[in-house]
Amino acid sequence: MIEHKILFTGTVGAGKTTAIQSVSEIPVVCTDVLNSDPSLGKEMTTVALDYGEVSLARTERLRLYGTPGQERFSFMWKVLAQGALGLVILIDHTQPEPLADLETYLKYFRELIQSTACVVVISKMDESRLPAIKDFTELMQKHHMVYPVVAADVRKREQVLWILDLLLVQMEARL
Amino acid sequence: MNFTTKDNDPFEHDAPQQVNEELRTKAKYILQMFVEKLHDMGIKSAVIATSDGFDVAAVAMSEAEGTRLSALSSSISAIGDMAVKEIGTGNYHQSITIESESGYIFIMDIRNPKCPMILSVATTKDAVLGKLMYYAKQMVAKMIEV
Repeated sequence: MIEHKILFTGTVGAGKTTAIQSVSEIPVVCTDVLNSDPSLGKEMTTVALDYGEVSLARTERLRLYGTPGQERFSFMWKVLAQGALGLVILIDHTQPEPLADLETYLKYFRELIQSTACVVVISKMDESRLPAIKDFTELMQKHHMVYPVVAADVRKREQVLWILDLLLVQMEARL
Repeated sequence: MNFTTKDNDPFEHDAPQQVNEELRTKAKYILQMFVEKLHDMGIKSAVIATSDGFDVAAVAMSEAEGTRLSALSSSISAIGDMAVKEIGTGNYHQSITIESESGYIFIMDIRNPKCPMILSVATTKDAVLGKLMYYAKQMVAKMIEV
């Protein structure tokens, strides 16, 4: 059995826990607690990590880890990034500054991104609003990072599997 | 089995109480009393934080350190709960002690139904853990009722 560690990070409320729950074949291990920050508009928030597993073939299994979104938990980002072979950055399109949000994660995870694989996922995408997908792509290029940027609904299992596929293609290309 | 607190947390349906000034004042007072009782135990910092890692009250430390310890205690406490559930030794941890070469970090949850919080204390090696735990329990009992 070949196992790969995949890390989900990104803005609070973008759907990191949801994405892992959508595809995991084991009960997802969560560290959700009551959220006391009224500006986030959600009841629970992840404070340490999420963990789930999904097998792709009889011989391949992905271990999915999710980080907390808030920057005050960045020490967990560092812990969880160890040994990861792919990074999914989820950006909530409904937040006021989605491009600046992406930049935060690009900077923090720069080393991991450049040495492994990465997919940027825009969740809750509203096509009628800017920034558009191409704005995110341009921001990545400015940082000399060429990775897929896609809009997805992470509540849907097949869409999360598609995101994981985009990662695996890159990982295989590296081998 | 799903290990979110949603499943078996008796406090699930209480909306989190906004951390208001009244709560901060009471917490600060109770925390100061606690630290005074342990004046000879090398306490470096003591913090009461919300379970999602915001400081409510902090004593004897810089503001930055209070903020940091608050976020750290939130993650560590959540991992503690996750561990006892996964291994089947209970639903919640009672306390967590981290010993290092020069001190201790001691964490105890304050299961206040309106606003779940966490006490965390950083000490030098001068701390007597039994005494620390004894006073921490008393202090947590008071904080559950505020």
